[in-house]
Amino acid sequence: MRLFQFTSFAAMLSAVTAIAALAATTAFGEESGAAVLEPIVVGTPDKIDVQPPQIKLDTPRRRMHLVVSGMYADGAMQDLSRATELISKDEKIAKVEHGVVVPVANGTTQVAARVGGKEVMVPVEVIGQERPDQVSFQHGALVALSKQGCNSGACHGSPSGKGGFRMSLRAYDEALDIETLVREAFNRRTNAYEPAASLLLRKPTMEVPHGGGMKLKKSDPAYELLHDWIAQGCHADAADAPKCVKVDVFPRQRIYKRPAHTQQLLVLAHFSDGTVRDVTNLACYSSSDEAVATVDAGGFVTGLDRGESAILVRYLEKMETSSLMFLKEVEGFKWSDAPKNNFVDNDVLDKLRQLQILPSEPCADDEFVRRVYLDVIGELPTVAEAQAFLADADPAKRTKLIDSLLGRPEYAEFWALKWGDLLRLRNSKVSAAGVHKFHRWIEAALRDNMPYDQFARDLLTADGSTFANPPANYFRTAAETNDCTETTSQLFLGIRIQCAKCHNHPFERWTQDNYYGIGAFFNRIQRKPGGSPDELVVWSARSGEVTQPRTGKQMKPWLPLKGDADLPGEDDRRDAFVNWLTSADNPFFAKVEVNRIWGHLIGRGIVEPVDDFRDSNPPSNAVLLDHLAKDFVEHKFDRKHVLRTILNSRTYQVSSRKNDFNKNDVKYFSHATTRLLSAEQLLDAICRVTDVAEKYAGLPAGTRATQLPSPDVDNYFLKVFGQPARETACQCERSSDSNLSQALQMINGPLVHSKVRNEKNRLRTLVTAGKNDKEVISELYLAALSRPPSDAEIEVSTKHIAASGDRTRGLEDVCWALLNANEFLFQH
Amino acid sequence: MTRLMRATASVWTMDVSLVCFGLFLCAVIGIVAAGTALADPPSLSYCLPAAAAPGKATDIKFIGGNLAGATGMWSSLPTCAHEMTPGVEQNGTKADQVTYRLTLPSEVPVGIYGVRLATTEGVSNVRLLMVDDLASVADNGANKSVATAQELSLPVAVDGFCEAESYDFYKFTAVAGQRVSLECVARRLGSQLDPVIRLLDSVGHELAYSDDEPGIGADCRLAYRIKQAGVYFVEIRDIRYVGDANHRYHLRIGDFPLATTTYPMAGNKQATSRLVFCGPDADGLPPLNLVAAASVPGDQLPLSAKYADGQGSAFVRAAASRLSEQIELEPNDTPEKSSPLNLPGAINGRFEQANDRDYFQFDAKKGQRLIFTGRTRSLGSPSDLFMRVLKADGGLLAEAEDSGVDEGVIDVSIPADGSYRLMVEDLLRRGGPDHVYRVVVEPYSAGFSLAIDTERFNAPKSGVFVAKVTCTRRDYNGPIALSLEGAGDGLVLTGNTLGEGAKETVLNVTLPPSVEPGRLMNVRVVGRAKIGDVEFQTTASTLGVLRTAFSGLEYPPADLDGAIGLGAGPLFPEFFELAAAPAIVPYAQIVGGGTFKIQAKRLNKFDEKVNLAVEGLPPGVTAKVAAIDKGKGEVDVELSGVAALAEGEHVFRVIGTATYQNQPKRVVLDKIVLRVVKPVQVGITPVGALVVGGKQSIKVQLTRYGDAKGPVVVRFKQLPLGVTGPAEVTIAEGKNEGTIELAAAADTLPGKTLLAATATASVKDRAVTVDSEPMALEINKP
Repeated sequence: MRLFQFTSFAAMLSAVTAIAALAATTAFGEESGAAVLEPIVVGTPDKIDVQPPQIKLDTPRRRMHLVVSGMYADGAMQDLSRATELISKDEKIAKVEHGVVVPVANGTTQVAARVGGKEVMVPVEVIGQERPDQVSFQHGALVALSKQGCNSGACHGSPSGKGGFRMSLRAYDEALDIETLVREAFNRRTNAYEPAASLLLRKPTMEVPHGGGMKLKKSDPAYELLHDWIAQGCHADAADAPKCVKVDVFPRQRIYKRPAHTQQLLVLAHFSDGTVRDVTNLACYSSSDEAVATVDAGGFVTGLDRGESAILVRYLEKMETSSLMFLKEVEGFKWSDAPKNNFVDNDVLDKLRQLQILPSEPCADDEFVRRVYLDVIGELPTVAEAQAFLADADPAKRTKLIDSLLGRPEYAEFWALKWGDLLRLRNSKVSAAGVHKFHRWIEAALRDNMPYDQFARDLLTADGSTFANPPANYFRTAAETNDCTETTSQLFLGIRIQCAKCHNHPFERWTQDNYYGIGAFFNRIQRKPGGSPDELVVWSARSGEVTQPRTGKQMKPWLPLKGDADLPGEDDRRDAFVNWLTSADNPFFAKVEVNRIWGHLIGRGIVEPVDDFRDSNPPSNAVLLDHLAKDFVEHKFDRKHVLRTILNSRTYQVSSRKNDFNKNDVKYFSHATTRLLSAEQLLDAICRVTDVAEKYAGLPAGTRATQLPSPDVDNYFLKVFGQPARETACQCERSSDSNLSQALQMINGPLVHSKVRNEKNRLRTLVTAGKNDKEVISELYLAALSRPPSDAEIEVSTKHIAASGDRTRGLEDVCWALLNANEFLFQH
Repeated sequence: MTRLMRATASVWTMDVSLVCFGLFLCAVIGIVAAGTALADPPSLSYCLPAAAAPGKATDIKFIGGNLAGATGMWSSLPTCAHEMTPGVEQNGTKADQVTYRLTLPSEVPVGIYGVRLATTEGVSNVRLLMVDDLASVADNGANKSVATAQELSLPVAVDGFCEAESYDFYKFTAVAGQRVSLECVARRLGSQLDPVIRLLDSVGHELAYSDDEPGIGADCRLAYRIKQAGVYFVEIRDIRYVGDANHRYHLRIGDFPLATTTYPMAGNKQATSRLVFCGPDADGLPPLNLVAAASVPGDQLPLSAKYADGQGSAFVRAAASRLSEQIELEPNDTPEKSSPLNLPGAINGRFEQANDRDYFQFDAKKGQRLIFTGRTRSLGSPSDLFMRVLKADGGLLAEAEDSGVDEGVIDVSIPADGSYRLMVEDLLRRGGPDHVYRVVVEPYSAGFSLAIDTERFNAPKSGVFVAKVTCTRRDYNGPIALSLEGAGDGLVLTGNTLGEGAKETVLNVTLPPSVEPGRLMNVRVVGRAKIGDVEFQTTASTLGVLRTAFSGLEYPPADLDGAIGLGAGPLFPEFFELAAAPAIVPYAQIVGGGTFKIQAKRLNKFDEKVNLAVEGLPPGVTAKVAAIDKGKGEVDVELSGVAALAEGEHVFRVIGTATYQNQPKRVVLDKIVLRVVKPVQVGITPVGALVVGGKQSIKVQLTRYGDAKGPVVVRFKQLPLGVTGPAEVTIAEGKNEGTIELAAAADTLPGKTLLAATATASVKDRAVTVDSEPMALEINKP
């Protein structure tokens, strides 16, 4: 039975109310629940591994967690830390407390790790126990405050602080924090003579009332650090104090199969003096998908459900992730190899098999033809096109259709609409003439299949007149350095770096220095009036540096994951940026675009949202994303190649009908994702079904909504259905939410009404041409749904027409019901 | 009311009624003839065709308004014979069009020139007309789709316009290997169109597209080599899909080259220059050996060029120079390889490729101040100059500002004797054959530049035109004298001196009577000053108004800059009259004062303020008078002064002045009578006839002046026999009316008799006695 087949006219009508019914569900929601810590089944490991393999404890305060992993004959691994017996060979040198090695006195010894019949000896060296152990302000006190969340955005890290106490957000501004903690409030926050009387300790422990409640217990490691730092005189760190240069987390990635479902993480901070410190108890943790796994304050991860989760580990501004996958046998699941059309299917099916999710069957031809038309050119196939495709017996007809659609001008027009959103084409941003010129440039670039690296280069290095060289409008919409930084990062790197403008990014690795370092590539962009009214000339000055507003430091150009770029001289720095951006080994550039394309075709990005790449938002199929990006680079950034690859995959062509084993999957692409047509798609589709064109102010008759260069036509229907105002470069501005206004527009809005009742619309033309009810109904179905009606649907419709007493009115009802049907409103 | 006053009032009443009727008639006439009462100079919208052909006569239809009665045409063409085209029905009588036949010599370069027309109402705005060696055809108006494309035979130029939300399509047949150039001349002709053109194959696939192109601003052009014989389509539209009859285009299609400029960019007026044409498709054009006569007006030369076997020409402009024109010596892309630069002079260079920098070395003395002025876009080069003056050690001495739309200027003072370098590169680091530039290097001199806010002067016969002239001074703060050149003698100029430090003036010029309506003159406003020992002069620029008039065209033809059309219309009509009320103005003795009104009759929709002055009053009498405000019809005038004037009459005058549409007018009421009267006047009026045996009331009315406010005793001088009444009545302080009741005894004789009263008052402690005018009292039988 068809997904949306109407079995009664009432069913057709009731479909109207389903517009808002598409609600998001969580992955495997039926299995979600509270954390269940099951006993470890140690079994018989082939060997065990202990991290770290050796320990050096160089101050009295040093500690070291030991994480023990079991490795099994079938390749499986699991964390055995909580089942491992740890024994110090010499407790006068070091002892073991709750799985943590603690120094006692200078010397060397070993700690034995025993589990599953295996034993590993870990050498331990203890030194420096005779020296006083000064608590670092940054790596002690501030880490402790960060750990407890005191300087989070919701508490004292907010711009105005809380209760008159303001700290820098997650300790990004050490100078501000020392001032605040030591000097403000008449020195009451820190009392070196009587540390325990410090408000900094008494408030979070609720010894005095604290609006934020209990945030610290005396038993917390953070309490001790803060107390000792205060007792030692509340000193700021010396200028030459060791700095944290990186953190490592163990394990970086791992797969667990039930009953294995827990993992103790080990977080080591590496300092500029070469020391390595265990900061497992001081780091902050979060899970990218708490339905899959949770993590506690001590870095202990508990898997809850099938799926993947990235555990984000943050130590001051340093961040790392641990990617963990949790598997579980599903009762009754039986994998059957589906045909694979290309590597996309390999990667998707591998993941599905691993997670025991069964993909749906391929979609029917009528579903495919409608789907691929809407996805590639943004409009419905005509009746003739749909009929021709359905009648075609060529086994390669889908591939042929894909190639044909990619060669049509509507492809460029439709995708120019998408890029118009991202590049913020509208009159107020780039002027009325600029909108048309820029839109034309984008459309031509897509039509000519300009390589994506060239597309980005043309935009990011554009200069000259915004009229004569339309991509220069990029720097008209991004009208100043910070906007350039943010827009470029989001569009081409998938990084939402806006937060780092004012402070280090609270959830990601991007710092304020990084933000202004990227800005240094764009700071020399200048704008001046052109010869014509509304024209702007963009050019790059020969000098001009960015100053970090907080530190006053002049920033060098900085590239993510690459570091400072040494670019002396007067050259246009954008060239260097784009050279890096479009290089084959750039980890962001290709991925962001293939993910954007994937998200458009599949309805959900491999990274979702499609322009929000971050450690805490990992791809749902990293292998697939890597593979697509690599293929994109190898094909010289050919976007049509990516489209063709995805469109030809079985993954794209699966049905939206779910099975028992994928009904809860929302992110592993086991079935097609149904989604409401975009505003422009929908309006064009209504025009196509009724054969009554919409007229847009200032544009020639016959212009389709998907051809609109900007939203300035001020069409209410389009706005209601989520047409973005193009104020930001974020894809999220295009709303895909359904709402009551949409339902009202479809049910009794003037646009639908006028087209259904239009004297020259499709159904009246057919009636005038002498077509009988069945013929008219059939054509309406083909126009709206790209399929002929079933016998039942014809019967329902003809009965309704007969009962209505007025044939034309009855046909109007059928047309109206079709327009309000889920099968019409949704991409499926 | 005194007899005098009554009489005056009745006269005024009668006059008013007559005047009102007259006003009514005038108003009716004024309404009917509202468009003709005041000058209505012609206006030009566009020309059809948009181009005249060199070497032949072309009938050009000028489209616009108020064109009936055209009397002449002016153009910036060096030679152009013209006449109103004979044989055109009603030619010269229609308001919306007039056709002139222009006959051009064959050597007139293809290019863009200015034209304007005159009628007996004045002179038109300037419009742009092309000289084109491609024949013109008209857009047929029915070519809105590929299916209905208008067929063309190449080479050709099409004159058409784009409608809103629409396209125009043309089709032509071409053979394989044929080179086809398309060029849309629209904004360069002052059109509002921002054109785009697309070349399509026979099934509508786009082969080439052009929007704004380097060197030609918003206009577009392309050259395409036909690969396959067949039918091709050209689509033209406004990039914004806007349009109307003013969104015109002159679409050239043919085999012409696409040149934008020359290298070098200037021809010397004293020597032969060898210029090479540059542009996106100008290869193969032979160089031009140019001899620019010293007498060539202006500082630019129109040039055109075509291929040896071509039928159509490209058109460019080159500078006409009197300077030493120097050419860069490549390689000069490092300081060490600088080209020599001799001062003063001009250098011509070219950015051969992207990131090309050119260096020029020159010697200068301490204290020298030099001005480096770039020229690129105004002469068709797409370059935007970035310039620096460097010291010998490479240190920066000065850099051109790059924030505005100018073409690059450096004003630098030399700190020490020695060698310096000028570094030039494209602001956008571009390069190519057409990226040529010219930098004029001259010693700085104090001076000024002028700009004027109009490109045409229209005045009534013997009337006035005004214009605002603004000034930008360069180290000169003294006076600047403005004159109008090209208009002959007899002009009267006011506001023609910019005083010390002044930045603007309103120039006011009155035409001499010898300038008859319909005459068309081309004039310039020139500013002169003696700066030190130098007689400095410059012409006021009209570029600002031309840019506005030509839809934002950045570089209008340079020879139009400063050219102003001057025309005269008919005499300016009357627009106000004045009258005094009352016509005989009373002036009271003892108190020394009086009042009257000045009333204005406004004509021809005149609504502005009328300034008034009173002259010729007796010695010691002054008038307090204000203007009749905008929209008002009258104002009170108060007289005051000497109190000891003897009774009697004096004559004085009131002068009214106003300006309407810049035309001044002065109206003089020169025979107003001032009558000196006593400070209290009395009048008597019977309510009706007195019936024998009955009673009747006689109304007494006082007129007081100034401080004459005290009680007044009124008594009849002599009552008729049998008529009795009170001996006297007293009209209380501050009151002006009273009643005396008379009774007629039964034996009173009927008939008419005269009755007079005497009023006695004390004004300023002086007894004043005044008689009323005699009044007729009718005594009737019962």
